[in-house]
Amino acid sequence: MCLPGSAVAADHAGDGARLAAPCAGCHGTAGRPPADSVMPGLAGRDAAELTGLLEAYRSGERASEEMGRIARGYNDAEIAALSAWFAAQSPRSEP
Amino acid sequence: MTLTRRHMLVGGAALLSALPVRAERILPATGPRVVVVGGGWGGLTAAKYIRLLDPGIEVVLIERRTQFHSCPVSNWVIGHLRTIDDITHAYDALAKRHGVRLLHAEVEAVDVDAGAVVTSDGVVAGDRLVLSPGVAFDYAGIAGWDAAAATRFPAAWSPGPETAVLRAQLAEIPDGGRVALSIPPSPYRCPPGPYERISLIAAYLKQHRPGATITVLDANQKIVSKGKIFKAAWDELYPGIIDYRPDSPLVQVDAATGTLSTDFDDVTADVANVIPPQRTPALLRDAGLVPDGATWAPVDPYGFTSTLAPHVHIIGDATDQTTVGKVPKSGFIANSMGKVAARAAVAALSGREAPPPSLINTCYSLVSQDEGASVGAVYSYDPETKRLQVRPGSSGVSSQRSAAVALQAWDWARAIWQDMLG
Repeated sequence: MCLPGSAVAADHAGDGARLAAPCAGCHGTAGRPPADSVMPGLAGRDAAELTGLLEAYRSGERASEEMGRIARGYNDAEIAALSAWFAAQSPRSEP
Repeated sequence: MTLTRRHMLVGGAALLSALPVRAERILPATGPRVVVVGGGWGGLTAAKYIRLLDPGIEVVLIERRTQFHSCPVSNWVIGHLRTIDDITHAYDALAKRHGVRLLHAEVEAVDVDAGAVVTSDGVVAGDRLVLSPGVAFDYAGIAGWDAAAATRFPAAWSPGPETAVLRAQLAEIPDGGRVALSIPPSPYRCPPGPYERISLIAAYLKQHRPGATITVLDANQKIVSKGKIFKAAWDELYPGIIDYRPDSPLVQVDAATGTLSTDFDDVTADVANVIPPQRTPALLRDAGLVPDGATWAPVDPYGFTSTLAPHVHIIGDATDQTTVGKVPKSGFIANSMGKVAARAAVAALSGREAPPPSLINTCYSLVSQDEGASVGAVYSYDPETKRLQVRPGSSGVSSQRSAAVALQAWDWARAIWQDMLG
């Protein structure tokens, strides 16, 4: 806990579950939103696709004020960890 | 069921069952256990995520209510866009799908040293406590506050029966009638909430009660959240309907005449909604988790542990923002805090160091029946200040109101309800 911020971030950048947990607040637990939601599902999608989307939101190339803000909150390593974690989740639907 | 067994233990003494059985231990643990107090946004999330992270840990969730009412989007009910049933959900899935042990009982005390919670049904002990008690309302500074005032001026700031009462009161307003609404000093639960409520009441009056108006007494110097968006919407959509008065703390009420007073003004209204000042509930103060003279419970946001009892987690609106960092008292943040506390509690029980926290906030507000705006940010932990810090570039407010955000707002609620309860 006494490590400087950058070292802490580097140590834990691979911890996709920890970073992905708050995303469930809109996208549903493990990236599986309720049926018929306007919030897109993330579970089981291709990691490269998710990384591309987050990078496009971050740069503003893809327009969304909500996702633009959020994507700017993560560095490249964290985006890679988030994408890999969601890609590894089963896309089965929630009730 | 254990509860049935307990009733057998106290025997046929039906009279006794209404009294607290303080000494009696109930729900004996069969392994490592976390006891979660409060089935709101923080507590529900913590309970579910502890079970997701480690099904070997038993979780007992104590909540007095047997149904969940959503505080976010409850303004939609007051504004007659949805019904109370639309924001009411069962707690069952937490038990059925995730094995959380639900105890519907009144929490009377928390014994921090013993790691035990005294409830109206008996004492529940655990290896770790997560406290998510929400806020208490503080009417002490409002002269004339009495039982009649409590009936006539429902806060409707915790969702449930009062939400339905305020909704029904609004429907009784005559054409040309007047609504009054008072906003407490910040910090309070849900910073944009009062302004969303004003917008939806104004929309209702505009549509259904010609000539009716709403007078707002705001204790704050200006609109606390999404100010530009709300101001523009009020000017453009509700001209002549909203009389907004900043720097106007409520000091006195008169239930008989329906009057709210500041130091300078008296506002008499057909319907008055008093949103009172807020603080951490006495339960935590009595447990020694709020310093003398303080309003909120201080925590280290690394694992949302009390600075006064580092083995106890405190999450949600009850936490002190001066110790957490600049996060709002929002449902989304309580949900994020629940996940951080869950990870920290699980790590502590297995003797590992918890990973650093990562949180998101997104708050949606309606400004009319079909348009809304959002505010949000991403947060991480700054070891230097021991506070949460906004990730650079991640904080912001909608540039303008939109129908798209209003649509997202309801599906956000559906998704986060599922994340807590499903």
